[in-house]
Amino acid sequence: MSGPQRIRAAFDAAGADGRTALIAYILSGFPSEADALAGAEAALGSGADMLEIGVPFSDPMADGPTIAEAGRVALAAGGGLGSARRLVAALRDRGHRQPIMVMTYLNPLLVAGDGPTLRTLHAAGADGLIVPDLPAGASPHLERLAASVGLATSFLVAPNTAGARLDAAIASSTGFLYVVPLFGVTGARTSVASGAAALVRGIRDRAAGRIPVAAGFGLATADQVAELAGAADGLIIGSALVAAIRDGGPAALGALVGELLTGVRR
Amino acid sequence: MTRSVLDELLAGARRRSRADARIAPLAELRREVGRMPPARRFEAALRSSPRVSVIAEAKRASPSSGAFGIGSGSEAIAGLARAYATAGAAALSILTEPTRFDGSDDDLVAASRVGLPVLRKDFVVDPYGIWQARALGADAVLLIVRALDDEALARLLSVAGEAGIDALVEAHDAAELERALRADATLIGVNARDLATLTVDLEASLPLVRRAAEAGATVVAESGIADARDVAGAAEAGAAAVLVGTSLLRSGDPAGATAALVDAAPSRSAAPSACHPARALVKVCGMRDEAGVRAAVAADADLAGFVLDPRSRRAIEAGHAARLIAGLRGPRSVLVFREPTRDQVASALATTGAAGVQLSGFDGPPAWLREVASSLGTVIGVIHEPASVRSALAVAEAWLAGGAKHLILEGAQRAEGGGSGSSAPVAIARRLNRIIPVGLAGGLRPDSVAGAVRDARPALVDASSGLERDGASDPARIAAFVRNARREPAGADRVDRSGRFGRFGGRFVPETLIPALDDLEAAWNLARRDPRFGDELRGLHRDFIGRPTPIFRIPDAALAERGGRGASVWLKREDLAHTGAHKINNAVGQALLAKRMGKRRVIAETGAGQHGVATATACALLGLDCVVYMGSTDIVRQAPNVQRMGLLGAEVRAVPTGNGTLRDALNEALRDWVANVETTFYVLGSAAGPHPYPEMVASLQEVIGREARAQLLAATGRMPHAVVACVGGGSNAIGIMRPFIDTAARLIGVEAGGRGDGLGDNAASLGLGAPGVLHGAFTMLTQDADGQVVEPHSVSAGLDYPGVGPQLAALAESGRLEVRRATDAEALETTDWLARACGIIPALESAHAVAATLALLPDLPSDASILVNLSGRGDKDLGILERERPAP
Repeated sequence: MSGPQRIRAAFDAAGADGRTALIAYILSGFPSEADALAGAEAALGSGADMLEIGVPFSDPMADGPTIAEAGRVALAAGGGLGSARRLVAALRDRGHRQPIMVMTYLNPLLVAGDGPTLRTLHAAGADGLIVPDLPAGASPHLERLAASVGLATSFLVAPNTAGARLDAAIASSTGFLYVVPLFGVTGARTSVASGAAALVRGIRDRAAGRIPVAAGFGLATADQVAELAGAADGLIIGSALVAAIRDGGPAALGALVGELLTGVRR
Repeated sequence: MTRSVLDELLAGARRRSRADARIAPLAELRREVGRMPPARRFEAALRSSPRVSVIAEAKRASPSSGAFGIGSGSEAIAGLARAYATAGAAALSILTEPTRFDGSDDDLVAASRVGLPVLRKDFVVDPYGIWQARALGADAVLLIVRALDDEALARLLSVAGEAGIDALVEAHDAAELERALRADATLIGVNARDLATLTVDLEASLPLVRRAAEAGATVVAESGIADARDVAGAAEAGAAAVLVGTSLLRSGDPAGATAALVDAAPSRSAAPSACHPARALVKVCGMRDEAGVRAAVAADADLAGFVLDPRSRRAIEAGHAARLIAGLRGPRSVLVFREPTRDQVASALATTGAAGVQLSGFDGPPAWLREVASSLGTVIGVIHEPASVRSALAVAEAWLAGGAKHLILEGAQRAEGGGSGSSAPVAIARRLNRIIPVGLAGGLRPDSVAGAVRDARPALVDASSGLERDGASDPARIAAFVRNARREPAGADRVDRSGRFGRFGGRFVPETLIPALDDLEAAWNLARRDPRFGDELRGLHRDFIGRPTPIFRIPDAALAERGGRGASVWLKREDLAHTGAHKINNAVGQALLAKRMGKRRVIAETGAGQHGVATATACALLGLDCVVYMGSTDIVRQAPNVQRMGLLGAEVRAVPTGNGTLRDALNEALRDWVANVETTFYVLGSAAGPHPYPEMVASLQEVIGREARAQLLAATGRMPHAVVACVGGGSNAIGIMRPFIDTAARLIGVEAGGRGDGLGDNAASLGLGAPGVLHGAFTMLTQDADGQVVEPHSVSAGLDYPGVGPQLAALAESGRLEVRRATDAEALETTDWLARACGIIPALESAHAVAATLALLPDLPSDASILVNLSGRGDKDLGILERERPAP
């Protein structure tokens, strides 16, 4: 199966089970490469449907303080695209079959040549790419390249993404459409933004089944997950998991995933 | 489409041209085109593709099929175009005809942003339609043979060449095809649809495809292509591409249908291609003496030619050539022969140690070339006075296949000729250059070469007799020829429609910011054309900022201490602008725009604090709320500026993340903007970041260069020899340089050399960095091998930025901008010198520009004048000066 197909299958399986898919964000190399691997396995062990592996970057303009600071720790220890690739490969070596998206800013993808870099990520076992500073349509070349090596692409849309731009993001995404239902950067919020469920539902209607729709940014509790579970095909948990592994290690991360899963039923 | 319907469409096209020309006259269109970067190469992309290309067409309706249900608004066409691009289409065809096809010019503009080569599909009948197509972003235009008589067809083909776009010449029957070939079309469309009856006969069109391909044309099969079998049939007949629209649009899944055709497209034998250089290589030929060789080295010519053909009056002996070549440092040496034998070439190369050979006198590559080409170094093939573009194309491709690396079209002008740009060979060269890079030779001189470069965009220019005076090498002419040949920048002079300068720039930001950048771009484009905005800005320049700032000539006696030999150095005194630096020009302009857009809250980033103070100042004047992000480290280093911002009523927010410097402040400002995008205006401080900031900030800073140009002309009566500015993000540099880009002045950008050339020891993103994406733009960055941005170092906080504005990156890549470095120590020493010698304490940033200028002095002609941007005053640096260079 190609990346897009595996991702689709995971969403379909969760849907058939009457729940939204839970996607766990693991920052590679944080707090160490070994603990990031243990954290990823704990998330999967608790029942996460999919992983999003983050690549630490020197200038993470879409990330809030939790992920930005964790990224600095990971970078200082030699993290980067390499630590993400090693994490994906280790997970595949250990027999995990769930889909894995790699989330990276654009620059690390370009520096060694985008073709070889994408092929290497695919060979390591990644299924797709999320590039927060690459809007849909900004690089048809990269979209084509990802498709040709078998990697899915997921573009982000925000509350102010309207009309043709939304359609372009839906058309260009081959993994899932990543909805950011608030104005702001990553980071846990105490509540779901008002109107977020309606926004996500509206975008999902517009996608009309062509592509699964997942929402992320700001989600941290089972209650927040429950509030959006009926609106989205999947929910992405990032900063809250990074804080959990920072403060309590891989076991705490696994426990939080287990707790969040109590909210995924529709 | 009956004959009368076609007539009606043609008449409609003429009416549209007349109506549009009243709004945007042809002369205005041509000026606009002159500012655009070169069009994408439509025909070349098809011709050199190893597989049959799919040109995907977007149209809302057609007379034969009715409406396709695409939706209104050009965003719908842009979305479809993106889907085609993602599916692997090689090029786009966009219908702009409004009455029967429901198209519009806006559709073309929107589709051209997608990035693929774009054909304007319309009923073009006059030169206006061609220039308009180019101005709207098209890379090729359709010419329908049936709609044009022979004279009009030939004329429009030539106009397309002049406008720098390709022409797809469409024929339906054998007679039309012969007319297209006689008119010297290279890109020919064979339309299987009879425009009179609208019936499609694919079978009948295949012999025409074959005939056109055999005549050397790049052939596009049009109409009636529905599946892989149709593509295979066209390919077998010799088509390089298929143009498909109706079947994709009817499929219900245009992207999927395109991908299916692309995946099934058969292989073809691609024409050889060569790389189009960013700027013309400059070859100085007929080198005979040491004075000439020294001049070629000093001027930094790319190639130097030594004529060994005994029939030439410039011929020299191989032994003499060997001695001259031994003294040639820099330019590559080329031995020039006429119809030599293989042995003559080999033995001369062995004797002289030259780096390459130029072969002329042949009709094409000699049979022996292919075997030995790899041992000859750089091989240049000469094409003599071609009769047509198609014949030149055939010979050029034969040379490339035979092992030549460069091609020269000879006979551009007669040796005794003078003018440029209008001769037949230039017209051939400029059309040929759209497909294959060729050089120009024959009669070029220092005063005509810039025009030839502009008109024909050659890959190389070559001169010999134009470089001589009284039969001997003339070093002054050699220097002027090389300099003038490099005057034309390649796409770096102006921003294109997708926000790119050459390949640099663009808009790489989170999706949330895209609508805000779109709004900003639209508001800026309206404001800059609004006389009231201009009046208000000029009033503030004069009364609030204190413009024009003066230019000041450094006393000759002071320069003499530093090795000056008569050249004059003029400082543009931006240090005298309100708040002490050029930053205020930009801050006032953007704050005015914020007010005009109805935004009450302004944010800004600052490093040294100059831009923060300038923004706080402008906001105080205009009654706007102001938040300035500043790194924690910088807050400590630049305490007086933090106090100033507080006094002016701005809130300074400390950024403790990262290293607490400018880039961290910029990241945090962008995060604020993402969170508050609907209420907030971001005043970015440099000509960097996502489009439209680089263009907007450069436009607001251009006042520096406009004033300086007029002031220097009044003072000296001529243009400067060089314009020098320091480069961090580059707003003071691009501001002073823009009005000089199209002059002969050298442009010299001085980066922070810091404490050395190691990674992290300097801020030399142009000189020592690599291309990448930071803060929304593709540009040059100081980064490590893993793509992580490395914290730069400079004693000057304003140069301490890891990226650079995209226009400067493009100017540097094209060779128009010379990039130099000044170290921390040189900047400190120069600050000290300027303070004592002239009574001016420069900002440490500006001291870098002055330091590099002092280093140039000994090599400058005595009558040269140098313009240096003294971008700011040094008061803010007193603490650093105290620490770094304790007073004696």
